Amino acid sequence: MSYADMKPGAGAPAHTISATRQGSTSHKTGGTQKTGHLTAWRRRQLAGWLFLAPAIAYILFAFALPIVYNVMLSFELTSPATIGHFTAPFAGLANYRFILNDPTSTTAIIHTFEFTAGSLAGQFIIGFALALLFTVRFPGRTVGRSLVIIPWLLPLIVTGVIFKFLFQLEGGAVNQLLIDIGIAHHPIDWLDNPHLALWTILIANIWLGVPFFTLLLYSALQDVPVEVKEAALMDGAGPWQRLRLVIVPIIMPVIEITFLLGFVFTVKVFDLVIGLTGGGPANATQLITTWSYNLSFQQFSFGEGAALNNILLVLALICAPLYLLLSRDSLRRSSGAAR
Amino acid sequence: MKLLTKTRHRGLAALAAAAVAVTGLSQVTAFGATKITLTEEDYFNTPGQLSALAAYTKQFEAAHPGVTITRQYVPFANLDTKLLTQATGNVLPNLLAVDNPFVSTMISTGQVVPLSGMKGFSTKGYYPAVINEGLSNGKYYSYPVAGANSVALIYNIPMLKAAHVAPPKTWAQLVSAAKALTTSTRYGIALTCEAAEDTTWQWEPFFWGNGGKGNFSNIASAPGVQALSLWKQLVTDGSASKACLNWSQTPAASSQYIAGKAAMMVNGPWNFPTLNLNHMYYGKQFGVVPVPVRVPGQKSIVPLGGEDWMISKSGGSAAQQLAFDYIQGMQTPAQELTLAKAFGYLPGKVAVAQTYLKQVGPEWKVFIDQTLYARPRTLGLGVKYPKISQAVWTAIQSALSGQQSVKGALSTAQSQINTILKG
Repeated sequence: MSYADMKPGAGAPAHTISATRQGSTSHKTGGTQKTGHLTAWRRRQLAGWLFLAPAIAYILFAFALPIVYNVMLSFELTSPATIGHFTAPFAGLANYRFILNDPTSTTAIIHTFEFTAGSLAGQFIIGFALALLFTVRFPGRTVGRSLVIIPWLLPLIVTGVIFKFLFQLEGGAVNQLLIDIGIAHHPIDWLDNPHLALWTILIANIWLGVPFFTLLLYSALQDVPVEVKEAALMDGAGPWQRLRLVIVPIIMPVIEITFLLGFVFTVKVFDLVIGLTGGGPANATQLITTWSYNLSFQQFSFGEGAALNNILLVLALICAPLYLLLSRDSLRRSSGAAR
Repeated sequence: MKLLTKTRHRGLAALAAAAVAVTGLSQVTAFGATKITLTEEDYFNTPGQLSALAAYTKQFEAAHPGVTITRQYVPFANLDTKLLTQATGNVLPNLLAVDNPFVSTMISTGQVVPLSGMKGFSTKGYYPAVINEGLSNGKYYSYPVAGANSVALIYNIPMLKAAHVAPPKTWAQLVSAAKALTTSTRYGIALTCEAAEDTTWQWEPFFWGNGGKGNFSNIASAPGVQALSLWKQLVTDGSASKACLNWSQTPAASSQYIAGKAAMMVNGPWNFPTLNLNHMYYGKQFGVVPVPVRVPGQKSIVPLGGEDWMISKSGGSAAQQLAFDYIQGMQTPAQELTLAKAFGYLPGKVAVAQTYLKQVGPEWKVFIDQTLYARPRTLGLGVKYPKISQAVWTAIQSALSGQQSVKGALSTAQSQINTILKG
């Protein structure tokens, strides 16, 4: 299965062919069969690198360069005046010190964690419930399943506008509904109250992320073998036990991956906040993404913005190996389960 | 790129000349003039603005054979970022029309050239605030594009009449008028307090008119505390909606006014066309008074809005000179009047503004008069202004949303501003 296993088997015939062909040319240079073999190997190596080169160039340009530049920026004293040059005076840790002492930055970091944890929890609970619901046969199941995907099809900024209309203080649909059914007596300032605004954005983001969780978990549930479920039923397991002890362990690899991808999607939420509150009121809904954008492109402190962004980068760097580890692990487990 | 086009055209000229020679026609052709293309970037997008600029460009190109102006539209939200990126690569367009708070930032990139010293440059006749937007270290870097604009109190005449209130002149009158005008279906006044520059800009006349300093260094003292307490009271009284925390000046707050959900608003002359479109006409449906002052005798000091032309270093002195000719040509009284009308702005020169008043109507009077005492937002602050403005609107949001008291919010802002001013 691994690359090392494949090499001798697959490589052997190719070796002989290229070696004999190489042999005729190497006669002129007086080389032996062995050096001819080496040249062929080297040539194949070279060809391999040549084929890899575009990908390497792409990765260097599209991933490495921006990251390196961002790290450089975070250690520089930047201003619009330094923008004409590639580098700016060295700032040491000043930008990071600013971020740690800036109350808005520190709350933005905390908010990002709270927001991510809240979003994932809500998205998972609702998404899993819907996925389970769709495994049950009922009229309108297919329609319901297609409807669930709709939030996913909308551009984030459109979602922002929709939720702004829904939750606005004056004439918002949510307030109207709450007053009409008698739950609230006066309009609630969903987006205008610093203590509520982040919750409102959280609701919008959960709504947005549910389709992703539903779809992935639903397809995982489809893959749970019927025999296993029937066996559990025969053994007298109740619905809750079947779910907890049989179904969840089987789809665990998918749950893990879904959470990880959900984490990545949530941690970089930006458009939704900009569309709903612009980070206000009084910075109550600033996340790492929105506040670093604000620092960089509204206050033109590119260094400080880059420093805050690097915190997000570190989070992503922690997540990437975790993702690889989990996916490898779950691959192994699911292939084991299939056997 | 410009060099390329130039050489290519020269090549074409040579080819054409050869062709002429071959056919034996030895006429002198017009190919002697060098071809040059100037690039221009702005965010103008109303039909009036576009046609006025296009007409001027056509006229300019006709008067300068061989010169082409290529315009590039960039949406408002992206222009600043785009220009900064272009400044990084030293590839700025020859001509840039930037929002005036951004002028200082562009100057500090070192990629734009001063207009002072260019042949024909003059600051004579302009409202000081209009021309001083581009003043840095004794040099002027900009000309107004189509003049300037500012804010005043726009009120609904029938509503005020029905409630038996006169247009407010002082803060006390504003508070009582707003209260009297508030009903179950409408607010007395629509304010703007979203997390953006237009919030600071709306509050500036209240603060500056009450003795607030241009650099906000006394924001936590009486002028600031009184001005923010006024806004807070309007919200606490229920005369202004707390929803203003997510309202932009235009179109959010202005559409509340137009829909009859607010009897007054602090807003600018760019609303006149929209008001007329909604059958609201000056003198009958709406009136304009200066932003009220705390005590009689104070003068409303408004910030100035509008865009400024700047010239980049790109293309060398020939291109710079041509770019200057382009914007200099717009500073004639006739062009100023045409552009100001098309943009819904007021002309940048005092005398031209008086002519304008006669031509366009009395709804402009307040705006024209108060521009004499207006203040450019970035004067003396330069690139620090965006940071200070952010501290100010955050304090306004903090106080109005009830997160902090007025004094608490302002002293937070004060300490931030002190740090920014020191840095």
